[in-house]
Amino acid sequence: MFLARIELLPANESAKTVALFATCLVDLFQPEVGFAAVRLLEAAGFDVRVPDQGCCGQPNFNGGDQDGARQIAAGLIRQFAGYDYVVAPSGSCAAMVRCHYPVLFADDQELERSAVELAQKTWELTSFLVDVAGYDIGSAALDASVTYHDSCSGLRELGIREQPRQLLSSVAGIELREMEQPDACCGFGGLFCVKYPDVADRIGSVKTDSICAVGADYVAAGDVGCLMQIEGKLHRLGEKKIKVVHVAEILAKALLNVSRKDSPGSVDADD
Amino acid sequence: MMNKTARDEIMALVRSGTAAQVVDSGAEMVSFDADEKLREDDRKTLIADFRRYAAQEAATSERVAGANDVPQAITRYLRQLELPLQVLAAGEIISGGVDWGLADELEILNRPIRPDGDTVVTGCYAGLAEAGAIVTVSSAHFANELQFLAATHIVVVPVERIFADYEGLWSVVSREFAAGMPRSMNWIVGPSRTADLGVPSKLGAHGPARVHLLVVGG
Amino acid sequence: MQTTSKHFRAQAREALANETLQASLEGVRRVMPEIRAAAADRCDDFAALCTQAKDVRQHSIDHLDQLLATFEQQVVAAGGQVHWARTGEEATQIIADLCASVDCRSIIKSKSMVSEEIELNSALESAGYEVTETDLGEYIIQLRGEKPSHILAPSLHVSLAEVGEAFNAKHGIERDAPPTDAGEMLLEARAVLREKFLSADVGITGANFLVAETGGVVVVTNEGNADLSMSLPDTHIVVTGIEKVVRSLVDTGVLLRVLARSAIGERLSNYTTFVHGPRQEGEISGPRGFHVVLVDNGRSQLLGTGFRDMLRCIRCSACLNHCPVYTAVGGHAYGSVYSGPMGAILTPAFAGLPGTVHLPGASTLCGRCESICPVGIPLVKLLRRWREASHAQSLPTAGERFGLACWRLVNRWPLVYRLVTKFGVILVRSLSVPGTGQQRWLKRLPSFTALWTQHRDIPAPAGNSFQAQWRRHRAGRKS
Repeated sequence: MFLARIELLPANESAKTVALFATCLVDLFQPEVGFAAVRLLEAAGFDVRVPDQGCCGQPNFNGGDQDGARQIAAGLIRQFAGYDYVVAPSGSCAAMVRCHYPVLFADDQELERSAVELAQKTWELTSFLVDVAGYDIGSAALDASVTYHDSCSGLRELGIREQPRQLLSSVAGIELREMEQPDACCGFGGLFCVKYPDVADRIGSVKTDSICAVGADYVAAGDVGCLMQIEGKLHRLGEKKIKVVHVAEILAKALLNVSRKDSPGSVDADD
Repeated sequence: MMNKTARDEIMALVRSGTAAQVVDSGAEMVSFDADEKLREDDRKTLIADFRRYAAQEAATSERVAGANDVPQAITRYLRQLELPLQVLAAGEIISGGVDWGLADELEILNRPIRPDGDTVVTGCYAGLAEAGAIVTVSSAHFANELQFLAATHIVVVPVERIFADYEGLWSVVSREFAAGMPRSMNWIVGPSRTADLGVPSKLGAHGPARVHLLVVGG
Repeated sequence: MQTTSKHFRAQAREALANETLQASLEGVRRVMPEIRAAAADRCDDFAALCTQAKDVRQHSIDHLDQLLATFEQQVVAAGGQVHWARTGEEATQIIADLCASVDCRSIIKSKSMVSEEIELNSALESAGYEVTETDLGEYIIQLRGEKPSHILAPSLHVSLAEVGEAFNAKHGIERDAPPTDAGEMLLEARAVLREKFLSADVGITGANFLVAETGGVVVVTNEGNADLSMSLPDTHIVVTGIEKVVRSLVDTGVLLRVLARSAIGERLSNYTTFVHGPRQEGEISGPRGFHVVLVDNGRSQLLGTGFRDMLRCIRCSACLNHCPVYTAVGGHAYGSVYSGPMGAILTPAFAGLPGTVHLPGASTLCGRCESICPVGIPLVKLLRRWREASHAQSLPTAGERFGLACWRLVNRWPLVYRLVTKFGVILVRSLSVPGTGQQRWLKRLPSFTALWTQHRDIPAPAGNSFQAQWRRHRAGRKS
């Protein structure tokens, strides 16, 4: 199961390694978010690897299946051992690893130690870029208005509020516009939106009403779960003007605008 | 006790429950040190806070120089609202300090309160600057329900009884009621109100629709 | 405690279609978080006040046996009596017996969630007493024969016009049409209830806190109805939960500081009353009988469990007001007198998990409730704890359990995940329709999954996973 690591060549021998934990929703539904995250992490000077991976176990954990969550977590802990950092383009999956993995293994000292070790080096993407990497997006530019939705887990379990806003506002041309109650839940809630679709829909409508009222070009968030909920509702409403994007995508897009002007190539600049 | 078994059973469950997880937070009695010797400017801030926070809860207030200015102030207030110049005066307010003989036009009623519509004047045990609240206590001289049955409640608040915060009140209470608490201690801020008939809240739900504070002295 | 929580889904659908309720809930959603935040911001350090409040409540829970014993002693010393009720039925029986012993005919009540929990009114009514609720919201739902839909604003779901209709139907006032003006209705209710106050024999109130050191009972209202309920009748009965006791008067001050701010965004509610025993010597008014009925009804059994933290709850209702689920469906959908996050944790504890398993399930676990709880209850953790219990008891549907079991298997090994998701994606994409660009959409799913796409579209999974694309991309880079 370590094949993935062996086949990768380090792009820069001295650079610290970041294992990208893409998360299953990005992996299956929005691969472009994964590539955007890679672009940002590489721009910040990291050597990005992508170990073979699946889900973080959150559906089982929140569904009350602790054993299942433990089994999945044990696999993930194994896959992500040995990197300097683990970064996920998701507040909710990063919080699962950071906040909940360590308490899952109270009965298994060895796994608990590995879980704590992994938790300590796991970050959500925007907080990693700002708090750990001190990343300056430089002369990236994008002429657009953006409204940012705070994903619940990232906001409340990891305290991510300023970091994405800081990154977005440091892009030349981006105008950040706050919606009413950006910290109100979008109604996704993992299994919740599958089990209680009517209620999830109403909560989603409240969110999309706030989004539409702002009238920005983009609505950005840090979790694909929220994005799917918001995009699905807007799509059904026939709302085509507002683009729903992961915060990594919009930042990577801004980065691309500059790198096209300033330097040749983007993702593959290091080849 | 009527049903000792229930008591014993509950207490046993509570005991084993508390013992099951001894997670004593170590939280100690919140200590307080009410500074009763306030500087003059502190006193001013205190009175200002008291009146401001009372006003935020729709109470009105005015400063009067001394106890003997109270009858005139009441007359003025009632006249301004076009209310009858008649009041029921309850509690120590009748005996303590105020010379009701100075109230020419104001009639001090000597009858039981009517179901609705009366103006009641009371003193108070304390004022709480922190919340703009007045504190009254029931006693042999004060049937405390009068302040809830009134349509208009006028409260005489001596400035020296305004405390900065709840802790300040409790330190005085623990001294003055060392022998036992009064039956009823009422903290009141502003008039009675309800939010059950739409927004904004409506005043005068069950208790008075008007509360007027006469802040005496200072 | 009776609940209809097992019908959560149907009740929620009904609530979502109720326009009157939805208008009220929109008000809660927009206004309440804002006024609470403003009240917190006006404090120098609201978080510090909350930590103090949490410590006070934690101390209560950690020393509940001693505090209850002291409280009882002090109530008796003040001339009152304390009664203990293991269950709701025991509590209602004690209260009915007390009423009988004072030859009572009519009873007035101020709002008490414990009395709702033990269904006191119906018990007293079937014992032949006339019971009148005096909190206006509670009075309105009593006239309409309903349960509270919010622990603080019980008639939240009722429109002003519906209040007018209820008054018209029950007040026996001859007129052409129901009243429509709120001021007029207020005066009408005030007059009707004033008469009840003056003629009642027994007044029943709840308690926000009990004070061990003095034997005091603290009751908070904005209308002043509790004060009339406890000072006019000849007998005052307090009915409350055993967990409400705190150490001292000073402690109540700490709690009062966070209660009104969290509940209604105010410094202090209009009326806060500290009552100690019956009429004292020399007094010309006040009740001659003073009784405190301490209700357990499942509380003591929470003490030794992982739900112990829930006993810190001071019923401020902030968690309801900040909950996306509560503010979408309101209280009646929960099928329990306790709703929102606190209700979703308390109801299974009081009524048993099998009939109430939807309540902890119907949460997005967004954690907004926990972030504003003034006594720091880990609400998300407790909701999840009920889910664990429900999973352990195989209470979720077979489908849900099967799904989780599969997900667990699929995700234990990345290779299995890779293979299974590859075929899964092909299957799901076959149900999708094209959209703009590369994106495909699920607009109408078959069979039991149709509900998911009833109101929204679901973005279809991408044809190739990120990992598959990455492998190709990396291979390309190397060559």
